[in-house]
Amino acid sequence: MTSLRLAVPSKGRLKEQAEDFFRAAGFPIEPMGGARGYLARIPALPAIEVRLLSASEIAAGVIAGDIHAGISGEDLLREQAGDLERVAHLLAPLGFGRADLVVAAPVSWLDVETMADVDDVAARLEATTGRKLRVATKYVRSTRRFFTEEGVGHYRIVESAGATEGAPAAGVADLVVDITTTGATLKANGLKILNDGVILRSQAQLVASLGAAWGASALESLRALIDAFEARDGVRTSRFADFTAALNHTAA
Amino acid sequence: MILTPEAAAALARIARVSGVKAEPKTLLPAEVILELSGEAVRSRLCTFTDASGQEHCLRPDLTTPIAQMVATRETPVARYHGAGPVYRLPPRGSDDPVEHLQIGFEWFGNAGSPAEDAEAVAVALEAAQAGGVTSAKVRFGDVAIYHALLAALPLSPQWRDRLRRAFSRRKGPRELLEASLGQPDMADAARRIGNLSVEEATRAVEAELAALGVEPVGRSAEEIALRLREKATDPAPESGVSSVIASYLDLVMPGADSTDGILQFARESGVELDAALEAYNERMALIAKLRPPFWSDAVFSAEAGRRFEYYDGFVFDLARLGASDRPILSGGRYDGLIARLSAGSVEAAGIGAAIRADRLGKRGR
Repeated sequence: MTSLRLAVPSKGRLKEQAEDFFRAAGFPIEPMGGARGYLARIPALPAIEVRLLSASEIAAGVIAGDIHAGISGEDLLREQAGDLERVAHLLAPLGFGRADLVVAAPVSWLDVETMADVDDVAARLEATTGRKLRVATKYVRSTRRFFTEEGVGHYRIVESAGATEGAPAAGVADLVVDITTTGATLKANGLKILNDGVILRSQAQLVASLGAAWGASALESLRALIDAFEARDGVRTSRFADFTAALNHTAA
Repeated sequence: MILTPEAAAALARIARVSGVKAEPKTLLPAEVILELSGEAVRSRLCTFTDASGQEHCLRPDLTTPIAQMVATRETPVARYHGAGPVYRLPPRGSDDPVEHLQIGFEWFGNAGSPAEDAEAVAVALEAAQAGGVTSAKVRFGDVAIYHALLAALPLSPQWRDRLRRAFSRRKGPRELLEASLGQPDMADAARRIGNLSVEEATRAVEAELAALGVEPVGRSAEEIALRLREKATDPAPESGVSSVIASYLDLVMPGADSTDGILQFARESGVELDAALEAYNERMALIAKLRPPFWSDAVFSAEAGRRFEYYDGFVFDLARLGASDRPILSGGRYDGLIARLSAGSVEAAGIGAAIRADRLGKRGR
């Protein structure tokens, strides 16, 4: 019988907030120690196998079905999954790790306030110079999907490895699609968020895989976990039932 | 490459009237496809990157590599046909194979004509019949009528361009017009600066940027001033105009009734489409004379050919009943394609059609 494989963030602010979240529910996470610091356990729930991974690895593991459940950012889950609802089920937003995925343009573009403006400017750029508008981002799929929904064409994605917000000033892109919490970094780089340019208001999510091998033991552990969180908050929800319904729907 | 008997029969029918057997390249610079169809199609392309960072892709159709060879003058403007594998990544949840066999023709010439349109659709439909297709429905349209409609309506040049671009997009003309309803018709900056002369507007933009403490990035103050001036004279379409466009896009009718039907639409809407309709009517009469298979039940749809970036005239497809999203063949006129691929240095009109070999036969995929 496979036990529940639960992944929690292994570094940074997200790790601290995830650990606080489990501790507050009465489930302190204890690292197993040793050089291999990627395994942990929850003494109160010994049947659960806890793995410490980066938020990005957790998203990939949940989508692939290697991990039953975990904590990761909705932005990473949506970017990596393509169609998230088919492969994973968001159990609960956790209220931390908040960040918005946004489209930002240079502040100097006084004429550009909306995605429709972006399409007009991009069409004109291509007609007059033969060049396509360049959009720097790490969020390639989310960008493509959003631009298609918003009816923006005539653009090319420039994949950025880091410091996306510096791309326009450096002359390697015209717009950026990036994560922001306060907008301060964008502003410091001479960029503004478009009026209708919020792609996603993201936060950390407790997420369960629809592709993992769910045995009775793993399901029972997940139910215990959800029950404990709800008992702490003094609420009862249909979260677990919703998840099993999604699981049955996927299997069908 | 071994062709099934159905595919061989379809190709043979095309080869009877087409000129040269094309030898299109399998591998293209990804640039060519992306410039043509945009990032939205990228998730369907088989791309890879070489050591120098150059991106390549496997051909997603036969049209692009053949057109590319004509646009670069590697091969002359002529009538081509061919068969070969093409590659598209299936959308998630689809069991479509990445590689499938395509049979088709691409005819390039100095100018298209209704006679050539009629010949092309007849050859394509006869090829499908030769390939064993017995029961299927033709859907056709004419993107040129949509363009003529936009030209005839009172629209700002910017809105005319937008509605033209939207035809091939998921957020189509209807969605664009609906979205314009709730929008304020002019942005603040356009109101402040848009009514000034070019020189004054440029200076006003420079002053605002200085006040904001930013340098112009990517676009000059003058470019921004010019566009603000455009925005100041860019009213959203009036509701009457929007509803004429929407009711045109709604038109679906038996092909046999379509010449009268479109004329009636034009009269009722008070738009003058005579030149586009003349070509349309001539084409319809010529197709009727050729009596191609499947044509007697053909359906005109104003939205036919939507979501194909480069069609700009007559468009058609053939699909089994209940499988309109999986056409056996699709084709159309693309007079602007060579000019686009060659940045205007080569001029050639074009029309073509592509048959999916795995959908031939009595049943097909």
